[in-house]
Amino acid sequence: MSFAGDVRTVIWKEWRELADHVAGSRVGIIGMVVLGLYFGVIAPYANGPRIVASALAIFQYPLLAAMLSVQPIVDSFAGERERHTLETLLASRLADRAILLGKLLAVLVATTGATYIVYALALLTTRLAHADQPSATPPEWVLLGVGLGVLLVPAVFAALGVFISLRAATVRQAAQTFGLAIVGLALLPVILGQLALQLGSPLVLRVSRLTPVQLVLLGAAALALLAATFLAAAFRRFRRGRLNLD
Amino acid sequence: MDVAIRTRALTRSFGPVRALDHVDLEVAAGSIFGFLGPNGAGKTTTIRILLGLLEPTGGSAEVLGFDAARDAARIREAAGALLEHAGIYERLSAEQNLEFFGRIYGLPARERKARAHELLDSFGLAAARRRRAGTLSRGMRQKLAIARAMLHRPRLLFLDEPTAGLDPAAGASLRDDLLALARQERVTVFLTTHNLDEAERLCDRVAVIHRGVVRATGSPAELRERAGRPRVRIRAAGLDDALARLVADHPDVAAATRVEPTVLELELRDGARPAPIVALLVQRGAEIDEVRRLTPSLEAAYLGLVEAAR
Ligand SMILES: Nc1ncnc2c1ncn2[C@@H]1O[C@H](COP(=O)(O)OP(=O)(O)OP(=O)(O)O)[C@@H](O)[C@H]1O
Ligand SMILES: [Mg+2]
Repeated sequence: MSFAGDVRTVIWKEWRELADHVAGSRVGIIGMVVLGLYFGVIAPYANGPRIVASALAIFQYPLLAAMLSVQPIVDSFAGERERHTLETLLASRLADRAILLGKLLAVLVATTGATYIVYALALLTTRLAHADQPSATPPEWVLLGVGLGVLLVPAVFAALGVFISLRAATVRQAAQTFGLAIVGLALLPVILGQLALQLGSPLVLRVSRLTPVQLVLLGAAALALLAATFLAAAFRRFRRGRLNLD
Repeated sequence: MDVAIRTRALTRSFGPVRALDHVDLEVAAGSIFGFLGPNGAGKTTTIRILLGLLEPTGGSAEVLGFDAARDAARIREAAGALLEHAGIYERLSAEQNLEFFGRIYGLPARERKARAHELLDSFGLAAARRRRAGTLSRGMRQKLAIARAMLHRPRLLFLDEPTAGLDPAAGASLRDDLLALARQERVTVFLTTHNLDEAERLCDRVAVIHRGVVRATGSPAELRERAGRPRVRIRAAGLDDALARLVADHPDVAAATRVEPTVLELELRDGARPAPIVALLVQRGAEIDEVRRLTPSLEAAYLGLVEAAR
């Protein structure tokens, strides 16, 4: 009954619930298959190598992973509250952190893993369908960008989503709050960019001189920081004796 | 006495509502303790505090030697709980629900399987074990939740209205199980119920709480005795109203009613015995068929306590 074992136990449960949820709705299954086929086969087949091998990929695949994570993450605590299982879970010997981390990792591993598979499929499709084109193999910085982005963008979503879900009375309410928060979050880089442009051309100059790999790493660091901040906030918010149980 | 649960002046307010008001409880280890009280009395709130799911606003509670405010993790480690909601995962099968909690409490895989089987069998859920729990009936889910609470053989069981939704046979069998657990394995059971008959048959001690205040504690027998004056029912031929009035005026009698033409019901004053009254009746020509002491039920005692508090 180590901490890691407890986290695994929570993941075990979350995945079984998730599997039942997806398998239980025809829309769920068809939706997953369509998404997988589109991003893994159809898009790279129809649109050529730029789908997997250009900067576009760094936006597209992380965003796909993030989209997949939304439903399960807003459900994480609000769903247990709504279905009246939260109190019983909290009455068990599981530590707060094991529950929170287990729920977060369950979503993250599933969505990131699934998206890596889809990206690998897309690379394969490109290799088979567009072997003649010189740009069929993505450059290093794109691979790095997709690899980190598919992990970190849903990590930000998951950490923020868990934080919101902890307090939300219902899944619907959690989803609404989450939607607003994401809009706010999406404005953040725009505002920062504006600010940077107005304040200091030296800073802009410095950023513009970075190599693509350095740029990707910079972005990844920013995302990691954001995810860590939200995760810390969620840990602070998770106080068993103060949580709304029903 | 080995004490499993002790609360001192335990108090909890929700805004202006005092859900618990200086509650003092003591529950002996290995005993079955019944917590009785009308809706909104504070029973569920008490269990939540004892498990560290809710912070008290005053007072303290000690469970199995651990402070409920500081050391609740240790309490949860040693206890099993059926709370207000059954807490069954409807998307998991009956078996998976048990497996999840078996994993939580670190039962090895083989023991987990065996124990789940044993409990599902004993609760009559063997045939339903692969079914999605969301498709089970309310009583079946309740049974599953009780099985889950017992799964890891906890030393202390919290059961919030365990027999709610159970059919009479299942209720009786659960009572047998709980008695066996307490008597043979010294498990402490803290339960709430609205079924006073059940409390009487099952509990070593009960407490009656009303609007957050504990109105009485004791064994069911003690509460019964405390509740009502001794009552006597006399069936006799040759009774009439004049005779009834005569009996009512007797110094040992608090009240007398002729409930049927041949039946007189008396409420005796404290310490009084029925013999002198019977003698009086015989002397006045009544032919006695039957004299019976009426023991007040726990229900009467409970209703008396709750009424008095209004
Ligand atoms: N989270 C909460 N917020 C506000 N008030 C609450 C909360 N939980 C309980 N209460 C109030 O505290 C009081 C005691 O509630 P509690 O649930 O403990 O009663 P109970 O004895 O379990 O009743 P029942 O027999 O209906 O289950 C009630 O007045 C209830 O409205
Ligand atoms: Mg209750």
